[in-house]
Parts: sequence; structure tokens; C-alpha cells
Amino acid sequence: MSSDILKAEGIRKSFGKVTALAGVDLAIRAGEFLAIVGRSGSGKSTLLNLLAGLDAPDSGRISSQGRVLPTGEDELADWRREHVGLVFQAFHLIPTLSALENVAIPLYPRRMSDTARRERAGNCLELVGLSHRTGHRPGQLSGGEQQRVAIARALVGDPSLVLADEPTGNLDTTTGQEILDMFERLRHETGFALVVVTHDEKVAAAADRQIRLQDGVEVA
Amino acid sequence: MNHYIRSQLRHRRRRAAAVIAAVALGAALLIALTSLGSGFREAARAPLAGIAADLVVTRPDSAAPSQQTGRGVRQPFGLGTFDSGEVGQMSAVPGVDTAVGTLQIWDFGPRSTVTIAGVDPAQQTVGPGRILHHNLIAGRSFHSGESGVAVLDRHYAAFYDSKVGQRVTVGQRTFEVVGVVEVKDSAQTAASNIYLPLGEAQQLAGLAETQVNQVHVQVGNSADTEAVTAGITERVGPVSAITPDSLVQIMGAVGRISARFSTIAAIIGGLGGLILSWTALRGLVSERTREIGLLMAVGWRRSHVVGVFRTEGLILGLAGAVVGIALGVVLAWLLSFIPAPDLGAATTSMAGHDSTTPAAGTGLPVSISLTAVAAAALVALVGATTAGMVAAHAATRLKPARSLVAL
Repeated sequence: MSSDILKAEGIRKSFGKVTALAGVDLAIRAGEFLAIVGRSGSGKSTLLNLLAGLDAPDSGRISSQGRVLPTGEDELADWRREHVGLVFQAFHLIPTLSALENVAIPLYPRRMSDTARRERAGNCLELVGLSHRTGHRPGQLSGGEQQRVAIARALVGDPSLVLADEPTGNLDTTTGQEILDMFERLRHETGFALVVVTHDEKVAAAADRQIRLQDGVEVA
Repeated sequence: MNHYIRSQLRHRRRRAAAVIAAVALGAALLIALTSLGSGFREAARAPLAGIAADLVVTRPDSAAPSQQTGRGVRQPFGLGTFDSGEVGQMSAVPGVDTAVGTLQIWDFGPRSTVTIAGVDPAQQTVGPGRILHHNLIAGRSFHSGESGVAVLDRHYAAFYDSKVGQRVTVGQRTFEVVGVVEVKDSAQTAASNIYLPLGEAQQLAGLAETQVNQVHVQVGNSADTEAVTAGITERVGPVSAITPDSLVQIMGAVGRISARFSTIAAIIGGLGGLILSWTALRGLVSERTREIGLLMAVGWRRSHVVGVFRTEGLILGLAGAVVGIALGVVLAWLLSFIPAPDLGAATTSMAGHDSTTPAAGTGLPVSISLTAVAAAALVALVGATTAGMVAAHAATRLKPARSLVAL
């Protein structure tokens, strides 16, 4: 069995006449911290979306632990629910829900009691240092706190892979560093692999390994 | 997920209120317009309902009015007679339960004109005989074979201060007043000032004892009224018939439209509400496109997302149905204050009714049918639920990556 928890081979993706990815190969190993680096428009966010199954490549193959990712939207959702945590630059928290409810969102499709769901979400908020903010809605939280809620939501399903798209992009330097430190701590505590898309060299420098994209292709 | 749904509805009150209002409007229109139509139909049936008749048949007479001028007792202008054989033929028309002949006559006196109905007292179920049997407010009715007696209309009796036991003059003869009746709106087509035994009315009018000029027909199934009218025409020749449909014609354009097209109007009203609720629900889903993308990104299946909006649609539809039914009932109640079309003039002029009998002003007999309420509730629930499902289904067809960047 392959030790790569996710593998992409010959991935191509275009949007109309614009080629976003022109044949990218990539392997993510269990527990590693991989940074995908590139300037704006280099195709790194598109690659992350494809790795998460949020979009479909025009050609190429993406496999998880030796199995090609399913093409059906529901099957992809099942796979993400079981294996993947996602963190976005814009946080994507639901403004009408509390921090605890936002964290619990990925657990709703699972067969578990409301009590267990809330307990699990509360534990994750505690992991990111927000146990005192469970009842607050996103609008009542700072940018750094919102991103920590988003990280807790990514971890609530106990994923083996966390994919983060510019997780510090909307934060000041200090808060961004705190988020990065938190990711590192949590990765060591829980053992998930972390893939971060960033244009920030400092973030990239913290990774075990880097992949650089330019105009949709990997560069040395 | 119930907690999530509750939270969404709680925090999106304006949008939820818009959906509820749209659903409620459709349901209310459906109920109110259906009730309005039934009100006009009831109003059209009312003048015949009190005498248990479905149609009143007369024979147009082409005799020139100039031949019937002057004082004295005579038939109303333009009214021909039927003989008892023809009444029997009407009874034999398929679909007819009962056909009862009466005689309407006028007494042109020096000061006023009095309308008189010659009634067979043995016929108590249909026509003026029913009035004498059911609408007595003083004294008694007359019996078969009895003569020299009369029953007065309440208004006529009050106007001329006539009471039971006193005498009333018709033509050259006097009659003892044995009773007083109150003719309700529902019996206006058979209303007269004075009711006499049929034989005596025939004598006063100089007619044979087999002759009548008005036949009240009761039909087994009111839907057969038109066919029965055709059957009567076929057997006895051209006739004029007052039916609920002909009374609707008398009501004028609004009545015709309301009575005939109320169902269509109600459906259009309901559909309008559905379209509004559909638009509002689409808005509800549309403003949550990013949220839908997020839910799918964190592992929700399409069916989970659709299920949420189905439940939200159901809840909003239920709330809209409750509000809409309440609103519809209130609207229907308000519609009942619309004055019922005055059919008295049309119906009594046919009967030759005197102006001394005032027309009662009443509201439209609006009634709310349980079927309309059930239909409104069903349309609201199914419409809102379906709209929520369809809109969510369309939204989940987008790839999550696209939904997450949607405006």
C-alpha cells in the first residue's frame, strides 16, 4: 500500500482559454507539511481545489491511498468528510451560527447524538484556544479567532489531511504566525498531513517540503 | 440538522417572513376567491332555494299590452298560460322530480297594483305552496277546497294595516284574511302580496281551472337544469326559464366573472402566490450559495443540503398556510359585506311583485369550503417544499469550488 495519502498525476485544468494547470504531479505523504508556493495566478489555489475534490480536473488522475478519487459529488463529499479538513483564506464561517455550531457543521451528516457532536466540537475549540468563545458568532470574533474556528472545523472530523488555502492571507503578521504555530502544534499532536497554499515565503519556509508553481506548472 | 435549520430560520427572519408572506398570500387568495365565487353562486341560487325549485318556467306571450290595459284583474303582461296537461308533461321530463303550476295575476286598482298568487294548497314542497306552509308568521294557510280566504304578505299586511280575521278585496270579491307570511329573500321568485286558492285566482282572471302561468320545477340533480329546460322546451314549446345561471346573468359582469371564473381566479391567485413564494425561496437559497458550497466542501451530500431546504420549505410553507388560511378567512368575511346582487327586482318583476314590498339589503352569502382550505394548505405546503427542494437541487449542481466564490 502506498504511503502517499494523496497523489496527483498529470493534472490539467483550464478555465476557457486560460490554462490554470498544465500537467502537475504531486504526492503528499502522511503527516508531512507541504507548502505549495507561487504568485497570484500561478494555479496553486486551483490545484488545492482539485486535490480536495472541490473541482474536477480536465485530465490527469488524483488518488487517495492508492484509490482514484470518485467522480460523483456525493462520494467525494463522503471522502472529504472522512479524510480531509479544509481551511480557507476567507474563513467561510456561517455568520448565523455560533463558533461551536460552525465547528460542528461537518458532523451533522454523521450518525451521532447532538450531545456527542457538541462535545466533539467543544474539544476542537479548546484545541485552538477558543473554549471561552463557543457561543459567539463570527461577527463577534476577530480575524485570528475566526480562522482558529475554521481550523477547529477542519479538525473536527479527525482528518488525515488538512488542505489550507492562504490560511494567513487575511491576517496580520503576528496573528498569521500564531495560526502557523497552532497548525504545527496540532499537526504534531494529531498527525495529519498539512498542505498549505501560500505566496508568503515565511509560511513556505516552515514547511517540510515546498512545491513551486508558475503559470500552471511546477518549477524547481 | 434540526438545530442548524432552526438557527437559519431564526437568523434569516426577513427572508423567512418574505417566504411566509408569499405563501400566505397565495393561500389567502385561493380561499377568498373561491369563497367569493361560491358567494355569487349562492346569491344566484338564493331566490329559488326558499321555494325548493331549480327553475321557474313561464310562457312568453306575444299578445300586445294594449289589449290588457285598464283596471281589474288580469294576467301579467307578456305571460302566457300552460294547461294542466302541459304541467304533467313537464313532470315527465327526465330529471324532473316535481313540477307545480301556480297562477300569477295582477289586480290594477284605483290606487295601486296588487300581485296575487293562485296556489294549490296541496303542493307544499315546491313553489308558493311552500311559502304558505313554511313561512307563516300569523294565522294559518288555506286548505284544499277552501274558498273565500286569503293569506297576505307581511309587508303588504303592514302597509295596509290588515290583520288575520279582517277582509281584503281583490277585483270585485272580498276574502277573509286567514294568515300572514313573511317571504324571505330565498323565496323572492314566488313572492306576491296576496295568496289565494288556485281555483279562485283562476276565476278572478277568467281562466279555466286547468290553466296556470308559472311552473316551479324541482330537478333531481341541479347539474341537469339546462338539460331539463331543453326537455321542457321540446315537449311544450318555447318557454322562458329562471335558473341560477340566468340569475347570474342578471347579476352583471362582476357576478358572471366571479361565479363562473372563481375557480380559475382562485387557481391564478394560488399560482401567483406560488410564484412569489418560489421567487422568495429561490432568493433564500441563492443568498446561501456560498454556504451550500461550504456544506458540500466539509462533507455534506447533495441530499443533505436538499433535505435542509426541503425542511425549511416545509416549515415556511406550514407557517404560510396557517397565516394564509387565517387571512383567507378574514378576507372571505370581509367579502361577505359586499351587498348581494339585487335579484329581487328581476325575479319579482317576473312574478309581478308590487313595489310595496321592499327589497331586503343583505351581504353576499360567502361561505368558506373545507375543500378550498384544504387545497390552500396543500398548495402552500407542497409548493413551498417543492420550491425549496428544486432551488437547493439546482444550487448543489454547482461544484463546491464555484459555489464558494459565488457573490
